[in-house]
Amino acid sequence: MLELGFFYLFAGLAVVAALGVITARNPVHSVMWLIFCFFNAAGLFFLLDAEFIGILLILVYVGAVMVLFMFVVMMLHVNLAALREGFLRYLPLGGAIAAALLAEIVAAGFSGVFTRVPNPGHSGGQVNNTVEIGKVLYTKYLLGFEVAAVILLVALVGAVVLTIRKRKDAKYQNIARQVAVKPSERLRKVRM
Amino acid sequence: MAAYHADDMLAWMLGDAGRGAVMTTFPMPNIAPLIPEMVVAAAAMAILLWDLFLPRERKHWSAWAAMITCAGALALTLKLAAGGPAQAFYGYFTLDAFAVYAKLLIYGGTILAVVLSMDYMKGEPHTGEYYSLLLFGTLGMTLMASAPNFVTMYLGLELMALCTYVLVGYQRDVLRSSEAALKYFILGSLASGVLLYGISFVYGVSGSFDFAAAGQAIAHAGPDARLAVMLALVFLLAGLCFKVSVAPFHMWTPDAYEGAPTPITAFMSIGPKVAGLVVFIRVLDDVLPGLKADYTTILSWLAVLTMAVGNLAAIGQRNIKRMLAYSTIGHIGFVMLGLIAANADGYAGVLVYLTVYLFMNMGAFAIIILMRREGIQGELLDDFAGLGRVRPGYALAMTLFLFSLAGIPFLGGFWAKYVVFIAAVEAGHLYLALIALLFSAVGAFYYIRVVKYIYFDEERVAFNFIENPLMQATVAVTAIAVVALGLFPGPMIAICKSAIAGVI
Amino acid sequence: MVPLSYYLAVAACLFSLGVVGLFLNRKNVITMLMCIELILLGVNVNLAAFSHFLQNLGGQVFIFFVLTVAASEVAVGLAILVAFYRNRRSIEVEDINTLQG
Repeated sequence: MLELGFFYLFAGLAVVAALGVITARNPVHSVMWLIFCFFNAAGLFFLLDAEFIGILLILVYVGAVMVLFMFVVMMLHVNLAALREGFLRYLPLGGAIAAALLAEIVAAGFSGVFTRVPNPGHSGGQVNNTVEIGKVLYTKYLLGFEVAAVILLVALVGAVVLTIRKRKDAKYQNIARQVAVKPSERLRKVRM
Repeated sequence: MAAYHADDMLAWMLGDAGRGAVMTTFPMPNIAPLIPEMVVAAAAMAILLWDLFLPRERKHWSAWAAMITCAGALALTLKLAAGGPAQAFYGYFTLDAFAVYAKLLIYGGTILAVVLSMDYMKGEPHTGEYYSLLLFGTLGMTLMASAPNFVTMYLGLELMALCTYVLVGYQRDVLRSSEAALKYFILGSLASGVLLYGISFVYGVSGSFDFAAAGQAIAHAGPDARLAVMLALVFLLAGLCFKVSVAPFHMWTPDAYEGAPTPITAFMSIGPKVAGLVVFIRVLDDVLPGLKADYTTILSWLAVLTMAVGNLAAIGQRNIKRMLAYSTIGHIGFVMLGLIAANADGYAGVLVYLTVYLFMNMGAFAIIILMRREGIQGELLDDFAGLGRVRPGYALAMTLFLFSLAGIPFLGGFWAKYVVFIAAVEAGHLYLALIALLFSAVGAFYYIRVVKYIYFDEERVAFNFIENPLMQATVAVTAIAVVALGLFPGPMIAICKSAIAGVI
Repeated sequence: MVPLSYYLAVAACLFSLGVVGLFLNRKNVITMLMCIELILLGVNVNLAAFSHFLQNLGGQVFIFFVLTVAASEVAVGLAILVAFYRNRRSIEVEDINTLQG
């Protein structure tokens, strides 16, 4: 009973937060709603015995990815009025499509194959979720793990290559030149 | 409460160990079939570092390194393939004849893309990162080609996709380039999300990410799973159709093709399509065999729509890169006939088509890049006016490529179409083959219009050709290949059939 | 005990809201990127639910990969957005022109 209550709490708040993300006028508010949504989704993961993934969502997503979002929102000068253009115009059509999609997926979710699966209950304290994930991640899923590492490297290189620039008005330190400097270049003897 | 159990081959090893103190022995996986991929990954990282120490005038050494890497990886793949089909990493990577042939095309496409890039990237900053990303993208494609399950497939797909997003936006000072990258990125991420949702439903119904195991479970799922399975089918098809630009999921293609640097457009038109179609074939054949009637219907409608959109929209284009984007869409529509036939002949037809397409498309792009001018890049159709008089050699080669793309008999493109059309007819889709024939006649119109510009129009702006022996050699080789495949298609078709034989 | 279908319904809500958000906020690229995050979150809730109810750890490992890829996608997407902003001085994207010449 308590579990069902928590489920409704987390699920309801996650959906409300998601609604907030797409309707907020200001991108900063959208980011805040999304952070709230991730916290609630992490709550759902805890209810599903996926503690490692839940913590990962909070540490990596809220801690790093959303900060990146916030950073970019703050960095770019955003014209709020222009961003809302077309929102109301597309609302009827978009809403209809979303409702149809939702009905379709929910109907699939409530089809017999899923409703007859019993809830296996919780594994309690004996099973350490992180250890179990570690054991398969570094053995069976090793290839995936390595490729994920390469993907992160590509993201790093790609992001740097697209945004790095030398500013013309900034002054850079040329260490090699500083070290190689000769006394004759810096010191001028003046005859008095 | 029962502990989680790993589903198959490792269960014995993981067993009950590690409830408290963790002592799991690490079984060394079989990594031999993955050596070519490891070489590519290592070389990509090495180029990234190496390029920093190259002086400005020697930056093109990175291109040579990338080319040698691809050639070496290809040679290693062929050598490993001689030992017969193999699995690596606990069955998360498979090296069968089908994957090997796909990798042949993927590495070939990358090598040609590097050749086309050498002159184009001269003077651009960050060339090392450029070639490194090309190699990482190639790595993603080869992983897709070898993926026997959704984990490897998804990660390969994303590795490829991330590299192409960055490469499309590589000219970051050009608005067109970054806008194209942005649109491509958003639609591509949406498609990945849709594909993942489909994968999650497949997992929910079958409890496995493995293609074959999931296919077994889906084929034997009861009638109460029908809705969930259909949803998974629709989402999987939508995600995959996006990646190979099947209408109505093609919207990103013209913008991305036009905005990307031309060598990247050439790169995107081959490798990702090959990898995407290999995954498509594996998913259709392994995961969805129980739903053949359903997916045949869906794909037939999509194929007709794709052929119509590709061939009709291409007529209105003035920019050759945009025209070739729609031409790619049209060709994918023809390739889909092979998927719909859903038998060994049809899938072999897909490989034949892609092989010929590699040569004719890369040749056409090589000529577009050779015609680059000051400021303008020889991209408008008018820019071809008078080419026949100024450079008869290029004009002849371009004519061959265009005729081959149009499917004029006794060039490579004719046999590509012939093989998939015949496969579709033999599988009982006569009406589809007739529609395809109609659209290929429509398509011939806009290819031949370019030939008209080349030979019958007066030169408007002075030509200014890049003189690069390697690229001229590329044009010659691809032109000869298109003619040779047109005159002697037998060996290629036989090889493609034997590559497919192991899969079905 | 919460049944599986309830979790799937939450995931469906998150996914649909993400899709409709992409559709409605087509001028606002930052919100579009956040909508993609919502879509992936929906997928992850789905996978976690299946993983628990099937007692199969594979789903959770797949979430791990999806999270890694999503973080990389955000990094690349925001980098492309910044490059676009520097050229255009705004983050509005014109509608995707399907048949434009």
